[in-house]
Amino acid sequence: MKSDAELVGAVLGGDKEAFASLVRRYERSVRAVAVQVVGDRHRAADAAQDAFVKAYENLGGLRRPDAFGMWLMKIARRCAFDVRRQKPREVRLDTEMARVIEGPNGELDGDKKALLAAVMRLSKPERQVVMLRYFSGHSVRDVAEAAGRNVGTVTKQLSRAHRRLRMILKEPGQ
Amino acid sequence: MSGEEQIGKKLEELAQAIGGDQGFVENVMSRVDKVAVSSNDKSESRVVALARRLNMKGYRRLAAAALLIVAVALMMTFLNESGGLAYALEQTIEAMQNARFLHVVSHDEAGRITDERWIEIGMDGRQVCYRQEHPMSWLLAFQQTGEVAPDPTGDLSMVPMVIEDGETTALYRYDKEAVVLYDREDRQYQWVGDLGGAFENLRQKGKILEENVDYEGRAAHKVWWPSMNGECYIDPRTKLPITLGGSRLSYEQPAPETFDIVVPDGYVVLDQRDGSAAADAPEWLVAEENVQEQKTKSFRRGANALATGNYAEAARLLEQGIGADSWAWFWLGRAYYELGQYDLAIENYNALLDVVKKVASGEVLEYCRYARGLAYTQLGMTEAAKADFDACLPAMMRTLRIPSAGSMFEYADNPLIRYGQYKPSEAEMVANTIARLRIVTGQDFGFDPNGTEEEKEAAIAAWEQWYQDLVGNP
Repeated sequence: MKSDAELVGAVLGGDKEAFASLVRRYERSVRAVAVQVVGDRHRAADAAQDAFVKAYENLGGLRRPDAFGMWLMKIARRCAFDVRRQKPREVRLDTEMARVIEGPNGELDGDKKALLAAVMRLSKPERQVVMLRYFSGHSVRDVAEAAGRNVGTVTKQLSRAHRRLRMILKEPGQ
Repeated sequence: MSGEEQIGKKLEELAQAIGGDQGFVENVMSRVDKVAVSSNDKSESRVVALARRLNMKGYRRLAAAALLIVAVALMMTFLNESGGLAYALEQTIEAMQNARFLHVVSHDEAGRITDERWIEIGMDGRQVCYRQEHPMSWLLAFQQTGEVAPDPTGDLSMVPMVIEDGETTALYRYDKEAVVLYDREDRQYQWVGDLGGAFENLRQKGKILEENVDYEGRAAHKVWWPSMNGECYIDPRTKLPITLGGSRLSYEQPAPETFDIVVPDGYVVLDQRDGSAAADAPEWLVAEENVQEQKTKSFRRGANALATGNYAEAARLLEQGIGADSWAWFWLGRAYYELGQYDLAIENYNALLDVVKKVASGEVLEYCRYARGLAYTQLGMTEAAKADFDACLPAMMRTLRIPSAGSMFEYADNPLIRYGQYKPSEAEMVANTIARLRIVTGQDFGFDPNGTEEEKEAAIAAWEQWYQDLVGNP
């Protein structure tokens, strides 16, 4: 499995298929970031597409190719805010009506929203390994290779992230 | 199933719910086919283009628009004001849960705006976007000149502005004609942190002090909100807080560009974010950050030395930590007090009171008045001491029935609270308050923290009776 840095290098060298690999690797992570901002899956998908296109356009400006994942998440967040501003909540159908039209998967339920919000509060390295491991469905070894870290470090970061997530979810108001 | 496995399973379920779709990669790649990957040069030119897109005039227009919105909102509140049915704290919680924007304004004694913040609140109740003008201006001025600025709003070269657009924090350095960009996670000027926790605190421990009282010519409910450490006034119509401490609150949606990071003409962009293509930080920025890091370290060690009773070491370290945190002044004053250097203690308490008076004239800082009163007493300055003690008596009396009202006194007394190493119980807060009341008033109504509930109630009632007599017959 190629690391993020290797794939970024390949894209900059003209290999578009390498960018498709990055899209496949980060699709769900980017969607997750966007869902947290816009509140539903459908608008999140729009924001996620925008994020990948913007990342591609600006790839030459990425100083550290090994930081591609977190850089992409920031772009995703910004795109999600743009989508949210284009379609403010106030002018949408009321929530119940929207659910009927969008279907039951339009919005995450309360527990999942809380868990997603908790993931976003993790430190940058922990969030990245959680997203690659669970949202992108990679093995620990593949996460290590993608993130350019060793397997032991990723295992420890995942374990710490699990503990921290449990703590955050126990906080009042969660 | 272990806790770790449970979280793992929940994360897998979350990933399933977020989903993906077969056509996603194809859709992205078809859009990518129509654009070109950038070079470094192009990225630089984008920054320059951004810098030229708007200039500082935009801010002035924005400020004027915001003032107009506030004025209209206030007029509408006056027109619609009514007492309505009985008020419950739950109504405020419900109203705030629907608030998506918060506008916070502080004034000085002359009525000038000293601090203004716009906040966009996310779906999870946390701050996502933020704009603050004149943030901590007095502290920055102090760092640069070693003196408290006589007028924090008067010298714009000292006054920074901060904008967080959701991912990036931009610090506007007018003195350096630069905009410094940080990842929001690395540099955050957080005002709305955990509204969920704050609501729970209001629900469980908040108190309605008075309903439909007069607040600056309008009816309002007066509420004690422990986690905000202050009184707030609630609009009877909207149920939303209109003041908190010395700040005024409103909830209108700001102008769309409020949270846009715009680079003024002629300014340089210093991009400190991960993965940025910008050049390394200039020497002045590196030097400032190193100095700030040292100050923060000295402050933390000094606070710890104070908590462990090593007062000489605390004074030495906290002198070095001035500028890291406003508490450095207070705890330095405490250290000098314990060393018997009462003049120096008063000097540092004054420094804190002066800057707070300038940036938030409504703040009383009772714990600081109490501490300064003690120092005046040691110097035989009884009139000055009495004035300070009178200023902190209401907060002390409130603590007898609402223990959390005394939390700042406890925090001031023990820096370990800041670092989560100590948390006083409500019983301790009441007992400590009684001890302070004895010092301040010279009275003693026999409160025994180990006594029965009836005995403690009798002592508190005696204190309240004494206070009522005092207030009624000053």
